[in-house]
Amino acid sequence: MVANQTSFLPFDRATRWLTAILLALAGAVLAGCGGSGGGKGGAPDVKTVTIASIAYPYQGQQVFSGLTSVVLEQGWLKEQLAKKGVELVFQPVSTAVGGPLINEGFSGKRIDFAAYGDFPAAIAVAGGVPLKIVAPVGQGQDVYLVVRKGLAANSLADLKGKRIALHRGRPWELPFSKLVDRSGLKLDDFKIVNINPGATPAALESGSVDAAVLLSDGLLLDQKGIARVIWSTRDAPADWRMRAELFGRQDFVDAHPDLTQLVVNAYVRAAAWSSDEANKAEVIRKAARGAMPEAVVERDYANSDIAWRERFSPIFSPALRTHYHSVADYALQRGLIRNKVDADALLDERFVTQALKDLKLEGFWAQPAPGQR
Amino acid sequence: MASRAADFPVAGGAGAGFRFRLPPVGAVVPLVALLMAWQIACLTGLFPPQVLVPPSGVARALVDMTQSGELQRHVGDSLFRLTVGFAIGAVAGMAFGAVIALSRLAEAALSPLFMTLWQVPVIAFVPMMVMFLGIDEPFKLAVVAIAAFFPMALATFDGIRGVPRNWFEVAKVYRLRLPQLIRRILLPATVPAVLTGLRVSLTRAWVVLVAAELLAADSGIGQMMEMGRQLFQIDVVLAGVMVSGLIGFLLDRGARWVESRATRWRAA
Repeated sequence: MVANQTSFLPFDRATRWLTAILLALAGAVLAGCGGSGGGKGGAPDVKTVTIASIAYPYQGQQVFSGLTSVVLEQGWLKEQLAKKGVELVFQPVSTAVGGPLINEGFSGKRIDFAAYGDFPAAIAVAGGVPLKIVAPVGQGQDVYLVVRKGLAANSLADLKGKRIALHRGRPWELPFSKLVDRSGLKLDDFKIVNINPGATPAALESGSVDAAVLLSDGLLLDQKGIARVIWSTRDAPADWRMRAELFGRQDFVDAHPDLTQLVVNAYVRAAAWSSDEANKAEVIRKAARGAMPEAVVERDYANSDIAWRERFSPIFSPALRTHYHSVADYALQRGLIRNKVDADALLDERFVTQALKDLKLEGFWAQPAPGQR
Repeated sequence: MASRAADFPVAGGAGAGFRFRLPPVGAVVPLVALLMAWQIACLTGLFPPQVLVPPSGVARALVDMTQSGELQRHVGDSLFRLTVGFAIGAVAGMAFGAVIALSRLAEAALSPLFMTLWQVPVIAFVPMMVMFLGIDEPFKLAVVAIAAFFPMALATFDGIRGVPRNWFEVAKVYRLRLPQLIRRILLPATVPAVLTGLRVSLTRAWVVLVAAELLAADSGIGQMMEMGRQLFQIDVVLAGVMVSGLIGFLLDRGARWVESRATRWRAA
């Protein structure tokens, strides 16, 4: 009895303390809210522009893939932003984490732009983080289904009941999911193992998984003899391929159209440089750096019959619009996202249009780019 | 007696004063306060509701996942792994602890290695275990078993070493044979220490299991959280945090209850 009574005394004191702490906390939160709101309404006092992109470790450094590495090397954007007193920050994101990490960065407003995949971006938009496609950065990438060495499987149906490595929430999930549907199967027909692409080769080699869904790293495994490609998006309609674009955080794009224009101009410049046949070898060398042999990159590129010039076209093609409609509808229908994503609202063409004018590149790329093979 | 009870209101596991009952109202206050602060932070609109999910949103996710059976499936898988892995690890730990406690030779030979390995976080073994065991159930059972093994072995060792030497001498006088020695003296004398070890290793095993499921699994509460992160469903992540915390809490409470029941004779 005595014990019970004593236990109530600190309770009263605790309540008083907690009330005080709670009030202080509520005050702080409200004050913080007012403060930041005021900052937003005022002049666009941006100190940095942060661009995130997938990067690979190479010779002790993080090297970016695709156009981002060209933008970085050209140094033009850094100069232009510096003139406005704005610092340019590139945020490397390892392919092991990819989209989910970028989405967390976008939602925390720590990232302003990111060159990344279609499906993670749809996940972010469905999750309440509005994004805009400010520039397409390519014509999409093929997705590969590989099986481990020694497994006698030649189609998805042969893999029924088998273990498939699939990193969830990544762009290659959608083409795979479509393949599952088209084959008249369900995801539950397989044992899906959620591991990142970095861990996948070891899992295939040790037999922990029987198959894996990958990007061009699937080709690399095929070449090394660890796995065998049994299907790729090449065997499917063109809009099954995964796409990546330069996405901008909507509130940043709306608040700073001038800075956004500079960023887009830089990517369009980089695209023009990469589209030059004379730079083909260099582009392939860059793409291969740290990630895989040049031969594999070339084979992956050769897989899709896109003319070199159009490969990095920043043009908003009808195929691009269709693609994002398909991504949004399909992901919602499959329950992978919970809210409808307005694909049309995702596309923001004005910056590329202006960039083509600024850089006198009108007519450089086919209008609209041949998104279909 | 009343004054003694006041001096030792809830005296550890060994005390007679401990009863399994609902926590006092005071214990609920910080929880409610946290929930309130959380909800207030959400109401400010400073963060998008999908990022800082309000408690009500997490509750809705819990209800949805319960209705679809998804939550039960993940919790069931995790608890199955915990049960089997823990049983293996705890029994092995007890046996190992008993061996190095009873044999000076075994102690001299094995304890340095044991002590070294014990200092390594279980998660550090994950790459090696994946190599040898794959990423299937054996891997997860091994993670749990290893997590349970060390505290269990140590507790058993301490428990047996804590038995007064003269009890063994009495056993010698009575010419007790080994099975009798174990049943009549060692078991009762070491029960409190072993039960404490069980409780510590149980909660430790749970934490390590959830962490391992985050890394490599196709189901389980840890994997549910990882999937939630990848698909940007923070409410699912937070629901997982709550459920795994609650399960850990209940495991600890349950083990404490068993501990206090089993050691009641001490106070008598």
